[in-house]
Amino acid sequence: MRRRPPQVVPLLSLRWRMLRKKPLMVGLGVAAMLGLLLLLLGIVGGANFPLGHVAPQGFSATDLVPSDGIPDHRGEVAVLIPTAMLAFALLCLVAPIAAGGGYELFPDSELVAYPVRVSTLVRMSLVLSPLNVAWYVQVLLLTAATAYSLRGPHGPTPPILVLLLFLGACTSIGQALGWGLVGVRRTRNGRTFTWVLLGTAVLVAGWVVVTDRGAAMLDAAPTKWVLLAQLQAAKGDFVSPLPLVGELVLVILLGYLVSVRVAAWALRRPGDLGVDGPLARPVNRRGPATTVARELLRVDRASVWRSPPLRRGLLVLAVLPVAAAAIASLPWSSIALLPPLVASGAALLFGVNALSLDGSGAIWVSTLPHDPALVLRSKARVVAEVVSGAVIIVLVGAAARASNAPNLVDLVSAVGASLSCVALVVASCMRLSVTRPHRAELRGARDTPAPPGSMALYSLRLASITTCVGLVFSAATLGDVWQFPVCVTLLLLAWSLWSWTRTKTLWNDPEVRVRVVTTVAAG
Amino acid sequence: MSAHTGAGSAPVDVTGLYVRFGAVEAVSGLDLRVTAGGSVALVGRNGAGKSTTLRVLGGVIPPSAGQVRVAGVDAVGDPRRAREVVGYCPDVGGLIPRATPWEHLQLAARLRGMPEGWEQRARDLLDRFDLSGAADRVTSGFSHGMGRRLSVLLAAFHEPPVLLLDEPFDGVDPLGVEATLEEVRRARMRGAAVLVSTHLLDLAVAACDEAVVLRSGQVVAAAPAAELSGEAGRARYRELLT
Repeated sequence: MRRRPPQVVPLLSLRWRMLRKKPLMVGLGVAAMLGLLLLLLGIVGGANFPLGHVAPQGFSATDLVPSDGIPDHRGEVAVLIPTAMLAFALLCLVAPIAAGGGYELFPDSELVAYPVRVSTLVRMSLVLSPLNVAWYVQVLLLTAATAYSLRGPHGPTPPILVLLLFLGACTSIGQALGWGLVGVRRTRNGRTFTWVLLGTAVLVAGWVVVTDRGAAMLDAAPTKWVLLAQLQAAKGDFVSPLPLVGELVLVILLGYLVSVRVAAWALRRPGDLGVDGPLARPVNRRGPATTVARELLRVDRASVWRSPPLRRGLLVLAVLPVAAAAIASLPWSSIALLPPLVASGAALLFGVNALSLDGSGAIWVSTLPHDPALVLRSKARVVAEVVSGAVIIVLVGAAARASNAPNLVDLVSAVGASLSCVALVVASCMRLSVTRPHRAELRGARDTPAPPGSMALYSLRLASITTCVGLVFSAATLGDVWQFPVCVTLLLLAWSLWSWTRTKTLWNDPEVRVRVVTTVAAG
Repeated sequence: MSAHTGAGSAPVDVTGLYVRFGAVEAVSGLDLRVTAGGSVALVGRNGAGKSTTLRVLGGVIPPSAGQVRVAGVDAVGDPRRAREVVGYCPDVGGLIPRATPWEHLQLAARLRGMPEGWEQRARDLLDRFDLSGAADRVTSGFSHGMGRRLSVLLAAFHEPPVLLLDEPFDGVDPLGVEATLEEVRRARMRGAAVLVSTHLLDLAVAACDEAVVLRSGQVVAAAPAAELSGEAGRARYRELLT
């Protein structure tokens, strides 16, 4: 029997070659090396970090890891690991669902002429999983925390190996679930079913919040068994964790095999999108808008709401962060960290390539007599609406369930962090949209506004900016000078305005506009 | 070489047009005139410069050099005014994917400042191009042919003095082709200049009375379109292409 030719490596290599621009290739290469280096540094640093001492009445580390009878900080960190694992598992389940069944190296339309196997699609999606800042940051934190708190006579390697198996199992199951949902959603009944499922999840989350069962649920999380296996491995007992290790290996393999089967089913399944789906259904006709700007804005808003991947992303952004913030019941000092996280997530839906909303129609729009600045302003406004909407929702949810009462500095910091992040993110998005345009259909369930490598760099860039901003405002809550967050806010708003002005100047150049328009219209 | 389609006023008047994309010269010193009521077919191989020429006339891309006047307006000096007098159907897509045909028409009417009553003209055109039933569906669900028909409709919507159609017949069914030919006829009757770029020689002959053959961004021949019909015409065309 003829051996089937490999597909993943040629496709990955083609995607790499398609980056074309040397700086982008170098940037990606450096980012990948830095990512790996940071991971190693986290492990080595964690394993060698001073243990410190805690008062005996505090957390008893000896319950978890005997440390010569002297209690230290390891126990405090170790007890958080099951919750962090749970958060990672949740991310692995939600991310492929939000991505519409796994990540794409190439849009479906570009591979349609080639006999690409389903297993190739699943493997490519697995390969792309780490190109997600949330996935990577959680892995980084979990490995560093494991290296610090579960170090034993054999160093941090044994518990980290158990952890890696757990991470692999979660990623593998997430893929299967994501593809399953793609198949289910191909019919109207399936779509209704997923809405019911989502509603139920929201109700359950609400019930957990209202009845204050969050802590009890976290305590009962099955991830504590993984921690136990890590502890046994850390102590040099390599026999006791074997059953769990075997189960995790089995889950990884089964998850992969099931993903391939489910993906094949999902992609083969005849859907009703052609005759009964959203594309075939007429939309309500509205009267003309009162101004040109409003007419453009109306079309742009519709372009967002009528795009399946954007709609799903907005829904995830509206539900997940607010549910997490409500369940976690954060103190006001941490609430300033939330707007930055949500803002960068919202921007990645389409903001980093906002001008692609017009698709091939960008050429037609450019032939209509109008002030080109109106088009850019309209796109910026839609991005600002989406980002600020997501920020407001998470802020309200977190504030309603905050664990303490805020003082003036807390309030000013939270508002300042929100305003600054929205302004910074919108300014960055519009800059990227004009300087790094991509053709993006944003039509299929798994479409993204830019290719995977670019998306990884964009998410890194936005997350770095917004996390720094969040940390500054969070630090501001430690003091009692409300003028400090106000000054930082004004400074960041001024910087955003300057960046926006530069982008507008760039957009006014006809040659820049031509390049953007022809790229988003035809690639 | 220039293609003169009459000695009267020329709504399309291009002199010494050059378009360069980096080291590539897409159009090299093109001269072209289309008179009011005249129609010219731009024909030639892929990459001959047909679409680029139409994109310059449509105000999508600025020329590297040369003079371009549309309906008396300097398209280089006053591109915004030029867009008011041009109706352009792009060669690919040309439609906002998640907007409906009616929303496209609404946007065009607003941006072009069309007077009250444009709705009736819009409905008539939708009927003629058999798109009334799909007027409120998003265009990303359209077939290629439906998209082409809508692009032609949008180009002709404001009854421009210059109508530019790039591959208007590509993938369009016979009824759609008839509707497009009818629109070209109507435009010419009201005195518009029509420029059609196509690879379909028979339809170029049916739509236009003049044909201009482009090669490597230059005009290599200009003749009455009828001369390119039939076996002899096709043979001559093939010679001009190589």
